[in-house]
Amino acid sequence: MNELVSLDAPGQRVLLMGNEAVARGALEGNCQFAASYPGTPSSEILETLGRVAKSFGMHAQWSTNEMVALWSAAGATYCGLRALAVAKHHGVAWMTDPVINFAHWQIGKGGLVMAIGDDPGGHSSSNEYDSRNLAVRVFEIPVLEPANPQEAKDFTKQGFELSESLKCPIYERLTTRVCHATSDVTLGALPKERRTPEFYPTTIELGMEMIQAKGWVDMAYLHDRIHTKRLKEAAEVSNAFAQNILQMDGDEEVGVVASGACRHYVAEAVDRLGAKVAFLQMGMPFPLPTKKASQLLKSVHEVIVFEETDPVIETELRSFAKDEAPEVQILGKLSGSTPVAGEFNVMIVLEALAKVLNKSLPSLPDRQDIKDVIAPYQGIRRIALCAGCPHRASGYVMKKAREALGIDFPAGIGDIGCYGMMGLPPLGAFSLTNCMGGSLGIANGVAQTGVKQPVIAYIGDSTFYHAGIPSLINATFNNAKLTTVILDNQGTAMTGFQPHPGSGYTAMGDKTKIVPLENLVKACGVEHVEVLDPYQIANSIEGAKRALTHAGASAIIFRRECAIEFRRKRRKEGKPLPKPFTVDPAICNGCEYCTDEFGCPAMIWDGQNKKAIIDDALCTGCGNCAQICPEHAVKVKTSQ
Amino acid sequence: MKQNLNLIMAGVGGQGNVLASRIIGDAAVAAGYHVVIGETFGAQQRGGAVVSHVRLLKTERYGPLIPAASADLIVGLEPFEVLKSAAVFLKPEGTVVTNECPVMPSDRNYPALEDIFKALKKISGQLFTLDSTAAAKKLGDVATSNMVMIGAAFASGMLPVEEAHLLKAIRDRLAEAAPLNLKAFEQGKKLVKPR
Repeated sequence: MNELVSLDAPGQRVLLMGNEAVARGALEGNCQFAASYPGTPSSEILETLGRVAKSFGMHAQWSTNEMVALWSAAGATYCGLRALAVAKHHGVAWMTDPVINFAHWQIGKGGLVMAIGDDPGGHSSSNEYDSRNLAVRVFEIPVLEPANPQEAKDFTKQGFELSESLKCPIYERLTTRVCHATSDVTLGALPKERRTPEFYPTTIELGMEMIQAKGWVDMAYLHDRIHTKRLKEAAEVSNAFAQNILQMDGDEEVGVVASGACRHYVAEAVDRLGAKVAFLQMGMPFPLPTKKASQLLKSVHEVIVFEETDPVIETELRSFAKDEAPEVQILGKLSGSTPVAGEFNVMIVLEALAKVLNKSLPSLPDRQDIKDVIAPYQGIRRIALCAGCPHRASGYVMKKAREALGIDFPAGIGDIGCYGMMGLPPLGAFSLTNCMGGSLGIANGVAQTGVKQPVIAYIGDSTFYHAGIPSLINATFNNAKLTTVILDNQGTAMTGFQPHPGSGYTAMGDKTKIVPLENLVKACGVEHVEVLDPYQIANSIEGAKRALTHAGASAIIFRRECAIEFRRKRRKEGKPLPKPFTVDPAICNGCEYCTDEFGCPAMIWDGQNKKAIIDDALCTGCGNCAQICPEHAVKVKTSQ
Repeated sequence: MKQNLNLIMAGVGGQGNVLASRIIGDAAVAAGYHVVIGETFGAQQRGGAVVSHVRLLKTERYGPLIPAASADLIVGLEPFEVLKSAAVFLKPEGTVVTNECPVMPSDRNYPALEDIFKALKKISGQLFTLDSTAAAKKLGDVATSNMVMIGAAFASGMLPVEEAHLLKAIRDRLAEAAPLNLKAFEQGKKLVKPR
């Protein structure tokens, strides 16, 4: 497919996903450095830049974690280049300490944009927290909130200019419905000239300024100037910002304020209700565009705010209105007028608006009879590890090793990745998961208490590089007796198989050295390390037993490439795929061991004939089921 | 005079739902529409439900998700997923164009196909069906089932784009795989029948 994102055709309209549009905005904005750690919904930003970086004289990298990505991007700004740091909301938590310091101490001469994908509703996340809270209350930096791919592109480009004039990182807050929306975007011009890097630590300038003003080092000075200088300048920018749009005739009684995708929901809901409202759209909600907000507040009786997911704008607006227009009622999450959690949509906005406007809601068809047909089958496509997934084999190996050792309820702690599903039946490896790297940190605490059960931490390869190393060193340093299980499928699988330090290539497709997990684990102080191929089930069970019975800290690395990625590569290289397997109905005795104990989606239980059958369309030919079938009824399919 | 069109593509992961929605989107941009596409995934994996919301808009830009009971057209790669989407999103008297061939879950717990079509008939103004999986297999690649369905959707007369726009979009997006996919498009046009 043509790379639309790098098309040199100003004015042309092309379909771009929001994430691709951010990448295009970075290109148009003369960004020369981009770094990220993969995370849905924002993964495609860096993926896209990685593909085109070389032809734009840009460096794009998958960093080992978001904090490293942010530091690296800031490093480029100290050489005068514009830089983009990308993460999902969870990743911002990792960036927190450096961003606070960059906000207080300034960045380099190049602009820095943080493109952050929040996930209202938590479609692909372990929670839905609103990262704008960090930007507004903790980082104290300006926030841009595009509503669609066009704005995602434009705001990214503008963000660099803004960052250079305000000398701080700019927070571009995206959400799933912007990142993963695809829309026609009108392309802008691509820059013709690139900046030449030159190291210039702006901190020296700021340090001199501080000493001149305060006589010596005074950290409060840095904080003070954020409020007395930068945020004041930013408020002027916000007042002039083209996408802070006030649409008002002056005779409306109700005002609506919205940001991000909610701006579209409001537009559609208002059309449906045939209502007339004064509408303040906030493309740059922080600092608050006080002039437009004041105009709105002074013209209406009530204002309702639509934003995802916390009342960030609502709180700002309430505090502003208290002096500016105390008689105006501000409605939203704090008043109970809109839901306090979850993703918004047209129907939610419609309902809240109808109530405020005293209008009746358009009725929906009932369709109860149709819903009754669906209800018994609602959950038929339940979440499961893919057919051929090596994690299933690893989970099975661990289960069988535990059974052999008589361990019925180990203290198992999982981590973030596809292997999170190893916690589900029939594998049941763990029942507790926190955030990136949490497995090993929590496992140390559990182990130190001296609980009776063996302590087992399950962590993915990419997650281990990201956040596992300090926790593992901490565990061995403090003499914790625990087993670390690393599920190494040789890429960051859950987000689309981006490379990591064990993959051998970079975001830009360059070959690179591999940093072997076993070396790291040993260097962290683990004495007993087993490197196992989970597809060799019997052999792996023996290895797992050795690790679980070792007296000190032990580790198991289950190494086998992701089955989906393996097949994708084989197809691309024109190599044949492994043959699917089949169940011999003459041998299968219908014991259901395969479906009960292993649970591969390609293994189908034929209830009528009381036999297992294999779906060739799904079977990846891994052969694991042939190894576990007690009757040896599973064989390679010979006739196609 | 252009009319807004709300279209849903429903299927399961791996069936090529997302690509199909992009091709319709490209064609609609060429036809002068603003286009916005949103996706909802069930479990983000092969075999999970995937629903693409494709909105062809005259001027105003709405958000990427179609509100309840507002889809003019549902195009489906999998019958039960079509029914699930139709129950929520199809507007009264809306049109459904669906593949007849189910993707079975591993425990074969699946409603009777006739019940699905009966329910679809009941809630739609027009129902068109064909076995796009069989047609695609016959062409030699089951993955072309999505292009068969685009052909069928075009033949339903509900897509406000010209055939040439769709053919160009298929050629542009699929490069060397285009000839096979263009054949699949033709098959869809030919095989689809009102039900």
